[in-house]
Amino acid sequence: MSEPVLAVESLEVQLPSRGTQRTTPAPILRNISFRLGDCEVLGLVGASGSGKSTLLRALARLIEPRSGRVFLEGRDWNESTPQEYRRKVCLLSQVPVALPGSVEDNLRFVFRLHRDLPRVDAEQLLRDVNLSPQLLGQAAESMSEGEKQRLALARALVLNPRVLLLDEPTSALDDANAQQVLELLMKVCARRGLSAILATHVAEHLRVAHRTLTLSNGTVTEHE
Amino acid sequence: MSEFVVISWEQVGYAAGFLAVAILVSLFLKLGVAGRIIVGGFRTFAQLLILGYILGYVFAQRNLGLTVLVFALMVLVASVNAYTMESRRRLSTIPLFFFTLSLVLIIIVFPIGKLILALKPWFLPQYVIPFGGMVIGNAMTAGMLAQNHLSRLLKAERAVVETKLALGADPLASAYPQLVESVRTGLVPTINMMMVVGLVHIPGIFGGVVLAGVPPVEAAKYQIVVMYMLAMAASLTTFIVSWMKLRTLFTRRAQLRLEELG
Repeated sequence: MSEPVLAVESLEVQLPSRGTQRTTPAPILRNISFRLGDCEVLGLVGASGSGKSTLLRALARLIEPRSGRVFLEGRDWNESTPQEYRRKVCLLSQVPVALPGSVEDNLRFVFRLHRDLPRVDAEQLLRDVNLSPQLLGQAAESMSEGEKQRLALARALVLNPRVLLLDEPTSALDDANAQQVLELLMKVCARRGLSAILATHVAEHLRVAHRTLTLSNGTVTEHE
Repeated sequence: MSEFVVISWEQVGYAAGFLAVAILVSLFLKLGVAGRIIVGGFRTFAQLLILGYILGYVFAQRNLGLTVLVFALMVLVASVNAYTMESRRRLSTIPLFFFTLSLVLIIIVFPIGKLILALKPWFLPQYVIPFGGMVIGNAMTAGMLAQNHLSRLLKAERAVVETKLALGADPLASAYPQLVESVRTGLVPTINMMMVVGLVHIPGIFGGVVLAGVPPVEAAKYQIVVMYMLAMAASLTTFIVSWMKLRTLFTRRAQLRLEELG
């Protein structure tokens, strides 16, 4: 295997404790190690409450692991600022969030954050995620869940990331929509050469994954 | 000043009859607060009397150090109060409020004494202590409202904030709307007070100055100064407290500290 895009070594995650709590809570994830290759889609399965979302949030560095290291394209994540790292490793949450304002405002928000990003054609970007360019002026919060998930993908793509962390991206959608969004995600990953970790509880969705990690009892096992 | 009426202890005793009525109402309606009214009555008597003697001494001394000491105690009590009233108590609230209230107090009291009232000396305790007390009380309430609202908003709108963080936003960019909203919330009582002052109630300093025999128009000038002063105090305090609070609600790696949001 060539150099992985993401290498995770002995990650241990515990839920944060309140300042007044004296005992350290037990880790909910421990000894998590795996590699994510270039253009690879890694399935992540596990029962409800097994820690899939927690693992993805830790990989997006929205929660701090207690120990372990993560390397992005060979570089220790501690050598980057969280902002630099999150530009490359982007999390799409289970319930898509539309930021206040129009669809265009949602895309502009990312440009305002990172002024060095190359300009993109917003209409083309919407077409890439199967949204009509006519939606640009529409209030994002009034969109359907499926549209919001596509908008969240478009917003992430503005960053030109290397890795997408997909936290059950179809769980809030009906079957037909879920299928469309899943196919779209895989198409976008293939076209843009992105790697992805797809957390899901639907076994059928794993057909799009090259490998699968199973999360149980707080740790992962790997299957081809 | 010549119209000022001195109340004798005997007359204060008559006023205790009002309190007796409140106690009787409580007993008659079985409200269960008669004991608390009695305790409250004694505390009111003792606390205000002690305040009167202390301030009498401080006013007579005209000493800057003593005036600063009185302010320091008032700010400390206000800071501890802000901590006890916090939705999710954090000890760091005490130094945060102590710093903020002290800063706001200095910024306001100095021009009040030096420029607006042109006191001699500028820290004349019988003027700057009541003014400072109003600043501290109002700023404390505004700051408490703002900090509690910020925690509530960040908890309620966590998904939006974390979505922005995941897109590479720093904490300020992620939570700016919530910061603005909490500052605005902290200012609401002060703005409302400015809108209705003199219409719905006769405010404290106006009433006090009039009771001391000052013509109402002169009393109005005092109250105008106070209202403008309180607007500035509330604005500065809500902004500083919310801003500093926001910093404590994120880790240095730009992660929202969910465990601190209550």
